[in-house]
Amino acid sequence: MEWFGIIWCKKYGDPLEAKVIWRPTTMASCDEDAAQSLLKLIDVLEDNDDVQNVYSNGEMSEDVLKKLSA
Amino acid sequence: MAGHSQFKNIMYRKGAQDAKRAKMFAKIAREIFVSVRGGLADPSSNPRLRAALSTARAANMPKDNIDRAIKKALGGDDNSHYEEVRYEGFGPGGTALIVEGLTDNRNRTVSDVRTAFTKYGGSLGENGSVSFMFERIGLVRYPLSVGSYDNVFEAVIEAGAENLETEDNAFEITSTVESFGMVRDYLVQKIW
Repeated sequence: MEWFGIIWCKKYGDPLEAKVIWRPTTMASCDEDAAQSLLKLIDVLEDNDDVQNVYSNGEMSEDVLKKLSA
Repeated sequence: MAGHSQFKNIMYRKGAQDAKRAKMFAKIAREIFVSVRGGLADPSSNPRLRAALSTARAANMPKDNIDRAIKKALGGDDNSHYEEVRYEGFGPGGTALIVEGLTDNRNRTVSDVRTAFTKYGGSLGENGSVSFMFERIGLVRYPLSVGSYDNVFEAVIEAGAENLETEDNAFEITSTVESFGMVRDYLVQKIW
């Protein structure tokens, strides 16, 4: 909160996230098996100490995504 | 929209975030280290450090961890030289991946990355082999609580950003890479 003389104002402040990313423009559909393998690959890569970010264009139905995220 | 199955990018998955916490801190610490080594230890004059500290705060990284990373970079003891690396390849099912890293040993990293790709039904490719399927943009996310869509849209235009969407229960503001720093700095200071 900042005091601006008469009124209290709230700033947006720190964002939840702010970074330069690679966003896919062409997607690749995954069935459940491919999605599971893709997720494992991403996890292994992210687990590596030298890796900072992993991006992928894999997409799947919401149901499969929910299942993977459980 | 009823009954229509949406397809979502795997990047929106919720993971076992708690287990990854320690790894996340280590990654942020490395980014802090590199940004201090590459400039001043003062966030107001070092945009990369400013971004890294903001990420550290968003991740609830303990102040001790942050200070330690900065101290390490300022001290002459740690002679690690990290370089930025980027790898691209195909994953299972014809998916594409881009991997960014900070490493003090390129050979170790590329070997690890290649092994992972092969193990999960993919293959590491040349740079450029899949990046044409992506665009490089700045992304800033804020909780929906910062304002109504219309108010935030106005702020986003003032900030010089390109687009505003709501996704994953948050405002997603996208910008060009060049204007990313300016957009972020503007929004941080923005009054509701």
